[in-house]
Amino acid sequence: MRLHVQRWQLENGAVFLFSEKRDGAGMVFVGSLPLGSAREPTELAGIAHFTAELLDRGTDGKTRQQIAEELESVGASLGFSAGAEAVTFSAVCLPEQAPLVLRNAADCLEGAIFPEEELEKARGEILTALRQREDDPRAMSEEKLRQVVYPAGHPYSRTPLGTRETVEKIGRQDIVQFRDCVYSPQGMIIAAAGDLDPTEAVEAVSAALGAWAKPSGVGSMHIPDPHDISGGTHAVPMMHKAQADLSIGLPALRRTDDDFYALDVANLILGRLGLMGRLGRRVRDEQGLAYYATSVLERARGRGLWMAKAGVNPADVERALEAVISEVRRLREEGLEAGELDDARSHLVGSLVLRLETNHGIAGALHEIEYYNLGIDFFDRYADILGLVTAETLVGTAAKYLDPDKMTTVVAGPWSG
Amino acid sequence: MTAMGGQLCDEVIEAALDNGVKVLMKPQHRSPIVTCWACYRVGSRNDPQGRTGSSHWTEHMLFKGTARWGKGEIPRELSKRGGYFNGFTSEDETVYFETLPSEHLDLALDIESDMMMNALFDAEEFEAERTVIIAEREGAENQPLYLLAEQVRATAYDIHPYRVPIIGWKCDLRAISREELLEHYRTFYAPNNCTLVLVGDFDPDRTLERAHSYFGSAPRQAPPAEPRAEEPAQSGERRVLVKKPGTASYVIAAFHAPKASHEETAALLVADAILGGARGIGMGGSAHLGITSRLYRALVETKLAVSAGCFFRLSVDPGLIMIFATVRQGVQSDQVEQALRKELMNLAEKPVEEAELEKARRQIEAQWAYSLDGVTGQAYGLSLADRLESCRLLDELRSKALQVGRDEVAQVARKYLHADNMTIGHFIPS
Repeated sequence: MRLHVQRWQLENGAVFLFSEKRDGAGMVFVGSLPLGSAREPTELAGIAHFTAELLDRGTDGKTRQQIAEELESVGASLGFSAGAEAVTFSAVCLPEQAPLVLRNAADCLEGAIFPEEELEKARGEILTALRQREDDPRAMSEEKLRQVVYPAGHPYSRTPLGTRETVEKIGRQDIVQFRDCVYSPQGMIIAAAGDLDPTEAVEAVSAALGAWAKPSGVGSMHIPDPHDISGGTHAVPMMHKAQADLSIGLPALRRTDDDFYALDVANLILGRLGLMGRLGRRVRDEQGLAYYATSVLERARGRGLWMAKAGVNPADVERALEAVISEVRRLREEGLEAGELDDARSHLVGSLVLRLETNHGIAGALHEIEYYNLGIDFFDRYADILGLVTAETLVGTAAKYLDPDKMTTVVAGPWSG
Repeated sequence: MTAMGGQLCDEVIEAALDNGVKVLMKPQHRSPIVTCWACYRVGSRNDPQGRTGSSHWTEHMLFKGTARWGKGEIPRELSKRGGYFNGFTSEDETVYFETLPSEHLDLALDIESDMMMNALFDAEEFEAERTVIIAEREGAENQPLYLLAEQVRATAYDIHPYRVPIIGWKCDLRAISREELLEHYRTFYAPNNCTLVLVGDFDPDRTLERAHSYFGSAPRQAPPAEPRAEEPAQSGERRVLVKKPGTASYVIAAFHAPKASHEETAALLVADAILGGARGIGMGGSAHLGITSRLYRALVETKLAVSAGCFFRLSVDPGLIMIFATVRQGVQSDQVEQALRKELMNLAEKPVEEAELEKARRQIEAQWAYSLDGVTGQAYGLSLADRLESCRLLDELRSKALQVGRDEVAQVARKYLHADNMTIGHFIPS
């Protein structure tokens, strides 16, 4: 199945990719700008996220409710959020509403006015969200892992929400200054799929987002390489909880590194293929220790995490940890089982058609290929790219990047060590 | 306003095998993908007392080996062909589905038929799965909102099995025997208790033949007994307090609602959209709406809560319409409850403005369009509709909802969303 993709560079340098899909399911837009927490000073941790939360809460001439009413009265949605690397926006609408949604997106990005009242509402929401995270073993397990394996101040070391201390003290002037200094259309990517003629789509995007003409913001996104560490085992005791959530991992590699595809296939075999790969088979299926036991290889511009995760009864923590580590070692030392590489490759190639079926899937995929500069014909080449991954290169990348002796373990929940 | 855009049931071909398997087929050739759903009319409402969680546990066991597919082979064979698969159990049904490249449809039919007829329930696998399910339950227990919702449902119902959690109570999960579960499987996994739903790139005539060849040998069985419990009308407000360590407060208000096929369901769907924003059919693809909804404006904009929403689950028997709110730090949950009561009274006492009603209609229409993106979403809708009454039910509800008038919304709000029909729950962090 070939996906027909068109790509344009807009007047202000932003890039727009589009795939037409005429089936009455509406339109999906996804976009990003490199304005995430990597651009924020540590003493104002959370300001990138806070700013993104406020973008649609008032512009010149429209209150938050007026913006929302304009969109929701026609069944359209528009949302902004911020991660470590980027502010992202996404919109869903019927095709005839695309110009309206895009105009609102542009107004919010360029002209948000951050009313004091909205700022206080959003502050309370973020603080409550931080408190909820503190009571969530799965969230705390991953958060602690990041704090340990990435150096202090590294954008991947912390949640983009910030901390209670920093969010309490961020003021309106800080947010205005952050937006004025950092926000610009430089690096903006917009991807869309759905029920529009490509000419109409690019005209609507150009008129709204392509017209944003502001010089580049101050600074740029820099994701430093973390140093490798041997992080040990850490507990986040939450003795009132029923289950312990484990995170075991370390910084791995960049999405654009040459080794990515081999490690991605290794991760698939280790913690995802079938019912959660080898980890699921050993921890859940054979030993009945967990409902979920899986692994993740983050896609990031810097060295993202590789992480194994499981939720287990506190009495089974040691057994589960031993099982995860021994499966990682087994892959490194004993290599692949018969047929595993072929199965993994054919899964990735075969499932591409599923990924590219819906507007959400297509828009997300188009955004990814532009964000990582993979080329507009990436999906045509994907099978060939995977064909270059051999058993030797796969095991080699596992040996290079998944050293259990360098992994950090965090257990959050009713377990104190 | 009349319905625009396609009906879910457009071009659906209805058929039945001789042994009672119902087959719903919706050929579409936009993408070389097909989705195959086996939907059994058994859910937690059918779990016997003392064996709660049986339907859900049975679902787990069907992936653990059948006569033709050894342990682990089903996920492996589907994955390596690029397929996505899953199963889920609700109060009303248990569903198994695969979405995969269309050339592998036979594999899906093969697997589903063997799961229907020949699941092994190996004794060792059964015991290993006990702890997996308890782990699943304990993961849910880590979430305060889950704990509160479970208690609210258990309190809202006196006798109907909707009061019991789908995953089951832990004491039952520790005690259920393999023989008891096998009996559950043999009772409910009959061909005449199953609907096959297929959407996507396939030839219906050939596929029906293949369905005959795979499923045709399953013997028809006596229809399983339906639960007999009829929940008596609630005659006074009920309160639930859950006090556990935590860091945030939550409020849930639940109201008894009619079953999906009831004549007032469409009006309640509109009320639901006005209260919390319209939602999609249920398998993703939808827009996040609700910032201009009544609950958001009454609870979040006023800085009483940080989130608020409404959920009316369409069900076989009379269900619940539930309102959720996460209390803002520094606010007492009682304040959220008072504001919620006031908002529901407003809805009951004053007919909604025409503009608000029109917004609800447009949201319902838009969410409908988004939900139909992709074969999996469509199959979900068809399987749900078929379980509730017929594959046309969601289409009919959508049409009716677009015709609901202002007075009807106030009428159903008065009839259902009042204090004597309410169970109100608070999670109080201790």
